[in-house]
Amino acid sequence: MRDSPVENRLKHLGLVILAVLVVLTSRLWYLQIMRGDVYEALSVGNRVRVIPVPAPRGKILDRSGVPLVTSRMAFSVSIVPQDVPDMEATIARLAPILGMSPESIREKLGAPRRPFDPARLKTDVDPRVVTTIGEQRTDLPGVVVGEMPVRNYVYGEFASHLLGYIREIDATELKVYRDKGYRPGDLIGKVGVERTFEEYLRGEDGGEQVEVNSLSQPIKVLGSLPPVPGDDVVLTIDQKVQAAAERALAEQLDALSKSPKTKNAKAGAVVAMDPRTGEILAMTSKPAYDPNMFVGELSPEDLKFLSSSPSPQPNRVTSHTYPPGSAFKVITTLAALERHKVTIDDRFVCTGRDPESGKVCWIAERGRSHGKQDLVQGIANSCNIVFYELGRRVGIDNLAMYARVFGLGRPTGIALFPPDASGLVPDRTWKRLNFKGYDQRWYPTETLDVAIGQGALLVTPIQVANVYATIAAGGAMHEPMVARAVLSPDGKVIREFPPRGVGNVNVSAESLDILKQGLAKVVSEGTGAAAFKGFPVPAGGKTGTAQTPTGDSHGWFAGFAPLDHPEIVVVVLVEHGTGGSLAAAPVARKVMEAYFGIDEKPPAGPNEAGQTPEAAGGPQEPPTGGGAGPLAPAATQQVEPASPSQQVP
Amino acid sequence: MIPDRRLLRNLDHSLVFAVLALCLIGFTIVFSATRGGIGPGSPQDPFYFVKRQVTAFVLGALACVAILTMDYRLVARAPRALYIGNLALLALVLVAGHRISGAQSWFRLGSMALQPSELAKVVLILTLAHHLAEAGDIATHRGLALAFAHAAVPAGLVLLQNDLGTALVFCGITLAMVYVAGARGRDLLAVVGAGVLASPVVFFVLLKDYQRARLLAFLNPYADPTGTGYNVIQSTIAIGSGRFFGKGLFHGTQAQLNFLPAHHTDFIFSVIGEEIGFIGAVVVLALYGFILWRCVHAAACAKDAFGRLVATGVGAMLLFHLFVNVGMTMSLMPVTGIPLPFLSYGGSSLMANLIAIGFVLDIYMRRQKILF
Repeated sequence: MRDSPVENRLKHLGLVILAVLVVLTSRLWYLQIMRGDVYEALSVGNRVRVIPVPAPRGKILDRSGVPLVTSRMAFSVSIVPQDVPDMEATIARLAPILGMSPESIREKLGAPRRPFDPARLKTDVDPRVVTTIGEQRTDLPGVVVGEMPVRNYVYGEFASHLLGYIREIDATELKVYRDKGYRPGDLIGKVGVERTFEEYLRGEDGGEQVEVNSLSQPIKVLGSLPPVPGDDVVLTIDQKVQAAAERALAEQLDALSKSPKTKNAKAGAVVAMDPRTGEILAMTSKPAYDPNMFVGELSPEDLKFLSSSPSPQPNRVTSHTYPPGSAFKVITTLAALERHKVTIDDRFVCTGRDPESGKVCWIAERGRSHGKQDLVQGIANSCNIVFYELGRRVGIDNLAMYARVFGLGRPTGIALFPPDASGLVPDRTWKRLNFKGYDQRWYPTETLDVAIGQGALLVTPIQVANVYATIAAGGAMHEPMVARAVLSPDGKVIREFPPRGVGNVNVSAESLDILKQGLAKVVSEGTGAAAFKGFPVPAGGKTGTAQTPTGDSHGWFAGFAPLDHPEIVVVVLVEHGTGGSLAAAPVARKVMEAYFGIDEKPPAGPNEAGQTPEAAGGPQEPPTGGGAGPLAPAATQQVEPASPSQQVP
Repeated sequence: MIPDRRLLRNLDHSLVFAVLALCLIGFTIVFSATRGGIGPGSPQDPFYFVKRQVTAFVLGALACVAILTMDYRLVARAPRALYIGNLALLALVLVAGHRISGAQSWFRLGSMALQPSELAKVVLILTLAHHLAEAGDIATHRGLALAFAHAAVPAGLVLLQNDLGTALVFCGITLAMVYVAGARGRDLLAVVGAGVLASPVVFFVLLKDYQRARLLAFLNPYADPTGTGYNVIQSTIAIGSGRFFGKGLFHGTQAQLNFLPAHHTDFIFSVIGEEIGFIGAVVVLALYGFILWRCVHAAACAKDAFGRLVATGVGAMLLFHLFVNVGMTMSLMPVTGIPLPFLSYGGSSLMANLIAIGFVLDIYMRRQKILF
């Protein structure tokens, strides 16, 4: 059956196979052997080149769309090593033009990158430099000038730590981000919003494949892939409130550091938050830097500034921990009320000294005492004697528990790089785990220290804001957040970040109400009254003066307004500001003024008291009232500089 | 069910070696094409793609061995289930599938993406072979129409996935199998003629814009070098610039610089042409020639019509892929996006082709009637 029809048909199939192979081989012969030289010339590295076209990064906007960070086009100078016949000569010629040292150029050339990719030497170069390079083009083969978008931080030193900055990706980041398409030389957000929302802001780089001549100049575009711009991030920040916080803190630090008694007050932090949602309205940390400095090369002065002390680099709102001082007394109060260890009718007597422990009230340092105090007065005057007693009644276990219930001792979970610090809530377990021998014991005096916010207790300003926001919101706790939404370049909402409630703290409305009475009294006639004299919106808050082993005490203020339906919580920390009433509370007032749109005017001093009839506690005048003037700074156990309120700027 | 020693003696070792050789070349070229990443978003591990490809190879080889342990005629016992299962998978991917570069042909399974249309080709070969072997009246118009209808349903589903290339493969397979089954030559000529006449309708009515653009780019790639002609120009430059000996493994500038999109999948032949030159490319074509010859030979030796048609179908499938894919990289054929068997990166394709080879090996091994 050699020539059956089926055999024949299979033979035909074989012929088709043969024909296909012949056709393909002939085509190969034609392309590779007959025309190989032509195609080789086209493919050789110096004829066809891919020029990356970086994507414009997304904008960062404030809550109502005011641009805070944008992109602008800038010139960059790169070099294609394959096209440089004499590298040393080119470097020698180029270095003075760019104002770079030959070593730093060599360093840039040595950085890892893909073959034939141009090595970027300098970004954001002056147009005059571009002109000079253009004039010397024939003497600078392989040197290419390109345009690329660079970051523009509209307000300069403004929310620097919150916004962050972008820089070239480093080796460690590259390991993590290479899977996401990052290559050496790419820019990446390093901290702040720039880092946290990197995936939205970045966009996708495009590229152009061009045929170039022997001087690397494009002759013909062979193919192009347009870049995809990054998405815009809408923050929860209110530009006006932020600007007020920036200005108020800067001016306050400036004024304080000029006064001999507060000359060490050089750093601080302000955070404002909407207690109804956890939205951060303002966040500033001083000293700060202008993120625009990271666009080009850092100058030696920039580097010196960045390594100066106190350091401008950390975000003091989230990364630094401090003893809370009297700002913590809200926790002690709630713990005592909730555990039924105190009622609003309980009476205490401050003689300046705690009879059981021998510990003193801050007012004793001035040779005075608070005399008879009830709970609300104790809060208003920040009387330590009252809180030693409460601490003793409640015990460390309850104190630590309520501190943790309000989120102390662990990160708040705010989505902002770097992750925020945990702080520390000391208790018996902590001592057992971290100490040896007799030091493992928990001593009763340590409970008293914690009750007034001292001892080993450590908090971040964002945690304090979280505590006060929870109190202001009647126990509802939210995760602090800085971004509301992500918009596509054409303005469509791609992603929304709704407020994230993390539940209600188990604290009764009655306890919160009593606490709020105390906090209102702080502002109306207590330790915060001087700073808030004449403030038209009913407010509540607490000052704090936190002793620190490293120098002058830190000044705190944490408060909210309006009292009944709080819309804003403001926390101010002034490092080594010596007192909360003096250093921190006036800053908080200015931030609240900006939020409520109150015309800025200097906080009313006692001499202007008559102008402020609407102040809730109006009749209470300075030298009277329980033995302590409402102008006296809140303090813990240390010597307060007896500064009259007139000194407060 | 280990095959009898006498059966193993009948195994076509030369075919096994040729396929192994192609797969090894494939691993090497896939590594060369992917070790530096394939553009934005590519994984960090330079062996990422090779590892996945080798995994698919091992799975495919196991399937191949499993097929050898049983008589290929077993599959002919449940043709209806096979056929319906095939359609169901193709329909399911339309509903629940995942879209990659325009074609909704993938199932996502964790980090794996499975493309049922690859397996569907093999299943079509099996069911159509059974249909043709049983029907026996292929020389009539009715028989021919029924055979084409049998293939048209899965092909239509593939076309709905926007996968024109694979749908055309279905046509190629069907034509070859119907011809070997005994269809009259002039009938087939009429069918092909009708197809040619209908092509303007297809072109202007049925094709999507990008498919039309691809076909136009094939006719004159330099009309739009920045757009759709780009791949073809780059691929032709890559192959041409390889010249006689190639630029050396890992030294193809076109491929290594990512000028060539999809150079590890559909355009892998350009990397071969560029890096191992005319010599390497001819060796690859020769290996394909050998494999195709062994498929036809297995068809000629098969002990029954079903085996003969399956081996024919596999040969036709491989031939069609070879011609369309390699032709595309050298601007002989339009860009249709079908892979080069055994070489292109892609697990579904590799596994399906190994399964297909498994059937050819089985048919050849069991060519004689052995009495147990």
